[in-house]
Amino acid sequence: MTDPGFVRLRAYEHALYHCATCNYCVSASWPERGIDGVCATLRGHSPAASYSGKGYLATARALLEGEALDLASVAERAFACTTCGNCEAVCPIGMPPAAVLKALRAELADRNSAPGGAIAIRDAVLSRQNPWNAPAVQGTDWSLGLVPHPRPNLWLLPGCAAAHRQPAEARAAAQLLGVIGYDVAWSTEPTCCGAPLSALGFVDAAGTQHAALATGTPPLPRAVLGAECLAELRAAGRPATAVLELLHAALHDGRLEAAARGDSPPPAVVAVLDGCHWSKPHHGLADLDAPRLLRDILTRLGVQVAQAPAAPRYAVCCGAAGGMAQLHPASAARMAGAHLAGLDQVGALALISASPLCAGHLSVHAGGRFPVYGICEFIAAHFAVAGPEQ
Amino acid sequence: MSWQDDISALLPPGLAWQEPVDTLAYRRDTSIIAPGRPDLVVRPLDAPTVGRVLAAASRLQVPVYTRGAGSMYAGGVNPHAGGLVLDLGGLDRILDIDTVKGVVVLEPGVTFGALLAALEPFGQTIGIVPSTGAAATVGGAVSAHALGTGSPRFQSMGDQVAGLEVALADGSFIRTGSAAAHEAGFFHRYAIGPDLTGLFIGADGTLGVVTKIALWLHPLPAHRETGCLGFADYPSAAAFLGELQRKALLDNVWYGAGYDAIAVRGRLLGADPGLDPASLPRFVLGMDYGGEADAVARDRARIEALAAHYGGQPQPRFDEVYFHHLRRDELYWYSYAGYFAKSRCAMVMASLPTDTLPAFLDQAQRWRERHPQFTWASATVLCRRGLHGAVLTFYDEQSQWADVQQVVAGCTGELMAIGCVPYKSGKLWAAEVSKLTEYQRTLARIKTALDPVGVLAPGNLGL
Repeated sequence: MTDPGFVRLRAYEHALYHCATCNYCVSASWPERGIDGVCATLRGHSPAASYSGKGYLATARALLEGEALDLASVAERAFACTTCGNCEAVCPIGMPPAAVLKALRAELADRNSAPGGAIAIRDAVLSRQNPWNAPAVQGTDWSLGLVPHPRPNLWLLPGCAAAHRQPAEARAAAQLLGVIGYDVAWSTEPTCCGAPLSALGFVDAAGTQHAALATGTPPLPRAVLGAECLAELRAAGRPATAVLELLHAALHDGRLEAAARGDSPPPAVVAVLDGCHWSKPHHGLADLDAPRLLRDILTRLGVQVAQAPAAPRYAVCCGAAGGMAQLHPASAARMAGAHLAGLDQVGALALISASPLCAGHLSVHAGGRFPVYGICEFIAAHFAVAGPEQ
Repeated sequence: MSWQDDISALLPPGLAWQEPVDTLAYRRDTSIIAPGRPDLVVRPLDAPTVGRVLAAASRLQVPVYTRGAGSMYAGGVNPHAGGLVLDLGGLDRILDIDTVKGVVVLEPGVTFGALLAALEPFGQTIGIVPSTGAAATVGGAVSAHALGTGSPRFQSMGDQVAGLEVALADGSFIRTGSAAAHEAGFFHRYAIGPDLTGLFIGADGTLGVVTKIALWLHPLPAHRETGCLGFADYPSAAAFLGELQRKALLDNVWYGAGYDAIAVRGRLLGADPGLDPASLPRFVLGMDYGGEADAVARDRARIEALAAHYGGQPQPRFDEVYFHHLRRDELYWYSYAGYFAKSRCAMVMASLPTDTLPAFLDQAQRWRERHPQFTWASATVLCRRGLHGAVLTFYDEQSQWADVQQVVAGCTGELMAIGCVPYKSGKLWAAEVSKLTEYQRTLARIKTALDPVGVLAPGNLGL
């Protein structure tokens, strides 16, 4: 498909001419607001401003103005972004650099100018239903031994990040939802919602996944583990509920009771990684206030949360998303390492996240030296749980 | 090998960029000065590399434009002559916080936000923080001579500098103030002979590249509060401000901002549409007090009593609906986001004698009437002596770019004619600076001595 007019970028034309180039999206530090640095890519991949929010706005404007830029070079920069949205969160005048970056990726994808690595991810999702090119069959291994309810009232979509990278989280989620009292079922066929494709700008391919998900899912309320999946479903007009919300509500109203296990006591102090898709407004989930829900859950469990240096809304990305981990693994490892290195300083004994993508990424780079849990997995590992029927 | 390759070879891998996509974000600052097109951007990580880059640039006769965050309003970082952009963001270390000497020594790429965060555990702060401080670099503020919060107490950025290390165009380094004697370090600006520190403050990178900065430390104020005073006319306000400065009542005032009649009406009628416009003051001074609580209470009472002599009255409603929000949870977030919230904003900044305030505000009104295609505003910042004035022109960059450049270019001469002085000169004021014959001739001689090939920021300050 050709699009000589860059119509996707043109939708942001007003913003491209409004940006004040103040550099907040590059290097803001603002203690009163909990901003302690902004861009993981600038820190972990390249410090060139062409990899920043400001750089993406400048690139988009130059393309609209007809400047002859080498699209392969543009693509190398545009596909080295974690899409975390921190640049957008810190912008003092509300510019949308993260949205422009997504449009820029889509323009490049439309012109067959996406990097080979991104195309490989697209093909993996379309053929194997996951961006890691893992065998499709592994996408349901998390549920081995679990029996979906024959007459379900809740459909669990664990997402491919949980299914492939945090299977213990997917499994614990299904079990916990059952304890709470839901009649839970899930697909026995691995299915990707299309979020990895949208993040890379493969809009049409993502649409194919949306359609497949719609036809392959019964008309039941959906519970979703992954923030990326939830955001994708919302954007596609398919409402769903976060497992995190259901857990929080059940703990709040007494449908779920949890007591620390004597044989596997929880760590006294944990750090929390909120996950950019949960915490930054750009992704459309800010109304859930997931950072608060997660902290509330941990407080109810009697676990102390160590003070993080940055506010969730402005935390620097761990490098898991946007294709970074697959396209630039060394850079993504540096980003993860920066997160893990900070945990000792706040006295945390484990890291908890409600994002399977982030938890899976950090688990890999923690190398067993530091426990990293999804929230459901954490509860299952350290708490005896009881629901209304126990 | 090209000169770009020659200079790139001086940097570690991955810190020099020639591709057009990589140089786009280094073409301009926040101003209406036309962008330039750098041929190369380099980001050194230490001062010796800066020296080597400058020596090579002089040898190869390549223009060098030094850049921090690029958030200034006068085009000083715009590489009009092409050449090389020297991005100092990689020199971002705080080298020493010496609470005994009362000095912090840092590299130029440190942002004000990072510096304030580092000083806070020591109960310390610095004197001047610009409104772009979360991302603006200290090096940029020194080179462009910024102002901001702290101006009523400390005047401007330059007055807070205890000494500098500067890389000269030939790649050699000098230290100024007491640190010129290396064993002594930075503790006294005027220790030896003339003030060489001042030579590089506000020089916009034309005479050297600042690689180390020593700033005076000050205790964090224990108590802060805001208050506003309203005046019936501009002359009364100007007379009050002059007396306020002469009586030295500003030791516990961290920020003072003046709002003209249109701004006052806009804020107050926006909040309370039923108010009688005729009852509103024509000028409001917002004050951000900071210090020991009893000293703040004492000074505030004195200031309000002095204001009463000039017909000034407290304006709690203006404070409530507008001014105190500006610093609700921030020490330095006064204006920038507001200026650029709805559109781009051209800013001409000038210093002015306090008694020139009425002429300055009247002039702003004349531009407003003469060029109704733009939205105009003015802003004044109270200093220990004199005022800083800003004329703000809000424009649409896509459709009004050429028009705004022409109109704003005309403003600088008219400001000079009423007694204003160029401030944050860059390229915005270059034409007016060039008319200051003796000043410019002396500046050019110094430039020739320090930068004989003329590679440092050609075009800035009319040089």
